[in-house]
Amino acid sequence: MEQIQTLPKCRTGIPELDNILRGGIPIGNTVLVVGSSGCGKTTLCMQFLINGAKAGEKGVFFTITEPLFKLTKNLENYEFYDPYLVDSGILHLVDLRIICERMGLQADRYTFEDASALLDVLKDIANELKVKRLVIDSITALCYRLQTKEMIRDFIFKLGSFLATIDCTTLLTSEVPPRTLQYSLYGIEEFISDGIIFLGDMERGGDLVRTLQVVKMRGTEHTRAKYAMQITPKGISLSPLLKTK
Amino acid sequence: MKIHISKLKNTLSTVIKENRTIGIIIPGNTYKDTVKELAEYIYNDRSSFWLYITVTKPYESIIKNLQILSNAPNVEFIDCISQAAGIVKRNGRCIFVDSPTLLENVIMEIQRLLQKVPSNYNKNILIDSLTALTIYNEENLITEFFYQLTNKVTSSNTHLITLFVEKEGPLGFLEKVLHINDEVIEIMSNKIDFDLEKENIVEKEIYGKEKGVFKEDRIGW
Repeated sequence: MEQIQTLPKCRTGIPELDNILRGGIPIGNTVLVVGSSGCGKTTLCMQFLINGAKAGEKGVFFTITEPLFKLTKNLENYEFYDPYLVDSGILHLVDLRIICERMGLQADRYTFEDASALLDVLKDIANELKVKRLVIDSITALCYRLQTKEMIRDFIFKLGSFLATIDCTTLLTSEVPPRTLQYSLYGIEEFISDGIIFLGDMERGGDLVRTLQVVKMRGTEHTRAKYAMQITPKGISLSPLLKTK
Repeated sequence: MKIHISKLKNTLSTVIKENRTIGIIIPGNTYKDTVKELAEYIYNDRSSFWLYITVTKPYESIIKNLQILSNAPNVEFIDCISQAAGIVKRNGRCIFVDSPTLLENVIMEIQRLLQKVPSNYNKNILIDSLTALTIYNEENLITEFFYQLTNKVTSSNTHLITLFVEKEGPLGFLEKVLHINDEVIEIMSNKIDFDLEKENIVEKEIYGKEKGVFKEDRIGW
């Protein structure tokens, strides 16, 4: 069997996930983190950014769905969060809606020009801050403003390609309805992403077991087994899912 | 091996060796006494770290009934049932798992707690009891859980002691999981104790008659 060429890796800092990915996400990959509301997308992305920041890699978190004060308030519940990382400029938290407002993009739907201008701004920020890790939370909310599938494809492809050139690893959160086997709302995001991490849940005895599965990851071997996921103040931990026959 | 409850502590001290998994089968009527004996063993085993996983009784109840463990610095707890029952009183020595059905979470908590233990400590896990998990989970799921836990634990230089309460699990369950243990200790039931005692008395009576000893002399035996 042909061996997959293994690229340099960006460690997520979640030991079990790095183990699943045989060391981490290949540097420069754009990965879709998919799941329904409350499944842990933001926590996973934050842990990825903060663990990187602690290792000296600059990161930026673009939020579209949640105001910054709420985001930081939630972060304070986690032991892995260190406000110093934000204060010292290793980790940047950016409200994308404020940027859009400043750019005069106040409409619900963007034109092709609006999307291009926004893309340039994101590229400039990533470039200027010299970030190695970037998160957009969520790409679904952004895609909502991009009117056509072509615009969505163009936006994600151009953003991902640029970030890869500066060795920046990107996570895009994708919101899907609960208990569905789809990876994006618009059916396009998964095709231009290098990887898909699917966060779900399954019912067992009336309780919901959180699950995580790496569906796709270009540039590395990985297991596609489903893992049980737990979110605690320490962050995310994983364990192989017990299977009922 | 089949032993009397009074021999449990001695037996444990000889069978707990590196990476051992030990199953203890307990008749329902000796459960309380067995757990008490185990608590004393844990309390005296100060050079070891013990992780007590409770499925049978809530943490609060264990601490109340086994006072000796309430102050033991070498024990931490994972309570699998209190959270689901809504009777949690937060405590630094106990982790409350949301539900006894979230078995993977139990494994994750075990791993997390064991990572904190300094390497110069012996590590032990006590599951009280595996058969109680059958109340909340399918048999196959528990079997898989036990296999996974045993494999993880033995590769991390930890001893696993698992209680199996007779007749608590479904029929045939013990046969499915007992062989996974390196050692199985069977505690004699109180009824057997009584029968054995009766048997001894009869034997002694016969011996007494043969030797011409009066019945009353039996008292001192």
